[in-house]
Amino acid sequence: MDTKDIVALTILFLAGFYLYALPLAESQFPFGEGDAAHKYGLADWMYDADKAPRDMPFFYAVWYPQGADFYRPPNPAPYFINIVATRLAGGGDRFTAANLFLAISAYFAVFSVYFLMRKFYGFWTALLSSLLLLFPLNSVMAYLWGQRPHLIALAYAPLIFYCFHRYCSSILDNRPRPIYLILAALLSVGAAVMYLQVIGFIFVFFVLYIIVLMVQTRKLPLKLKHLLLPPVVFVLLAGPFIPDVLSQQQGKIHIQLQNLNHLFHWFKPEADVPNPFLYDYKTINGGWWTLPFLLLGIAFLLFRHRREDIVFLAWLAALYIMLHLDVFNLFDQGRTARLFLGTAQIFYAIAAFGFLAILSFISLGKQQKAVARYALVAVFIVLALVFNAPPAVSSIKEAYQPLMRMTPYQFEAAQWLENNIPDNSLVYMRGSLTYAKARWIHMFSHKPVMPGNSREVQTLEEEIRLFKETEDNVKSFPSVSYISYLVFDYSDYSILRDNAGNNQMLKQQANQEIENINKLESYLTRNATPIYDRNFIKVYKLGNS
Amino acid sequence: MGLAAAALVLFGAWMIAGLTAVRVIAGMFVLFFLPFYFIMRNLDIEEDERIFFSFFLGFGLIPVIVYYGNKIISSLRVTILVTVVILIAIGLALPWLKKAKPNSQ
Repeated sequence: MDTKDIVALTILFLAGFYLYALPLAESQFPFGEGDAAHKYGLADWMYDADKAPRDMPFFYAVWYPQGADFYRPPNPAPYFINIVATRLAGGGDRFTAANLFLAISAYFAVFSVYFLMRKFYGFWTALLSSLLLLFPLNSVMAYLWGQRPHLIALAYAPLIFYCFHRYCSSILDNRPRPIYLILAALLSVGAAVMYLQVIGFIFVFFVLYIIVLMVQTRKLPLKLKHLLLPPVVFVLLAGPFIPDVLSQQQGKIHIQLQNLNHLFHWFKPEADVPNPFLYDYKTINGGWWTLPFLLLGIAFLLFRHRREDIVFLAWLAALYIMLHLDVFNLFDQGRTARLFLGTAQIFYAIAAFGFLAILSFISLGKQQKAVARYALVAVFIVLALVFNAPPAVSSIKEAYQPLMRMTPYQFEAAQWLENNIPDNSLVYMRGSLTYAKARWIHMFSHKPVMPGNSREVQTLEEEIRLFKETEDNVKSFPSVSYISYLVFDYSDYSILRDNAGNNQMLKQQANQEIENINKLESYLTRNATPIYDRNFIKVYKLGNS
Repeated sequence: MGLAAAALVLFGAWMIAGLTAVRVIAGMFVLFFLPFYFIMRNLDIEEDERIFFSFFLGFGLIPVIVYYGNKIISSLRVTILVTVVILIAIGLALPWLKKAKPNSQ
């Protein structure tokens, strides 16, 4: 690493920091969909409780009740501990420090890909591929919506592949360096405790890379005695977290062939996959301009097939296999789609490589070649900034305006719930603008809040039916099985109505929602006196009114 | 050059997100990078490998160690600090131990 690397990494870090911290300019409150609240909430509770137990607290466990495994966590604790540690470094700040952690960790892949490309193909390919990695729209949306541990886990992959490559190469060159295998195992622990599914992908890569090297060199690129320690290290460190995660997988696996046409696509989303635009090459990659260079890069790698090149080909093949496990009914697309986030890393790496490989097809003098390289680099940067950056910047900038996050009114109510009702009191809540907002209130209250807007309802009968369904659902909960508090949140719709200006339709919709909530409130509380009534939010205690 | 870059990063972070950002970045450096960097200095690998691996290893392994440590030390925050201090101490002690080893034979 020399001066230009330090300069490039500094620029990449600051550019990423500026980009991913954009939502924090509008509001200090965290943002995202249910997944984001779910993960933020446990870290928030861990910080306050000052402990990281294996079992989840009751208020948290009610979100995804798993029967016998009611208190088993769906995500390993280390991710949350990292947020707690960062909050500690940030002086205990409840929002900003944790939000900044999320912003910085969202683009870790920029640095791991930079490292790999720098080691294999030099500075310029590293810079170009990393630059593009700031902007893939599906990663940006994963950051905004809350699939954040997946992004971190996937960022480990290039480093693990590098270590494995170094180890295999050292064996083939008769200068064994088992340290790289141990480093690969330790890095794999890091990936596994962030998001376990990535380990399957990494394992498939190992197998493919070994097979190709064996075919190419007719030698085994491993020593069996070296294979003893890394699995032990992995199992000792990551093993205890794995059963809890696997216990969340419902149903048995029945292998059968289906959707064979998916094999002819990189990833073909089923008709009912939410947000299909996230799987559209043109949308997520700033148009088609990277595709020719991706194909050129693949062709060049296949033609040259050095050991470094095989790393990328095995990576590509491993990801392809993982993205098509639904064909064998091993995973549904909802699961495989998470690994689709890893596509940008390999596509951009190969596209940057393919782009600069153009130079090898042109016969030029040394000086002319250097000038041509600078010209190509400049063109690539311009293309990235013109086509890839704007959608990413506007998505991040415009996402989660203050009303789409928890508001100060709602935070105040959440704090009141935290301080004034018992830990095991089930709370039914109706009224927040979105389901995610209700979940943020749930998380920040540290109380078991059941949102009443898990689906759209229109009439009082539907409202009552939804409430009864929730009442029935909580009967299976272990420590408390009845709803004892009600929250009616008119604040969002009141703000919406008051700020609607001349937009009569919006005003009418807000009024309609307020009326719906009010009907349910009258029906369930029979005009009792609320125990909290502030900022358009009311709380009632059931059975004592 | 490294120090200038670090200063620039902290200054940039301060401009973008204020003093908390400086604390968070400096904190992440101390919590996740330094402990494993001191340990990795004792390994026969290249310097850039050391730098990149240290951060990712720290980010992945320190919380795992903290999780287990929290079974012994009841306070999570204290466990984090103790873990980081112990790892840094191990990293700093390793060269001494390496030197001491031949003498003891």
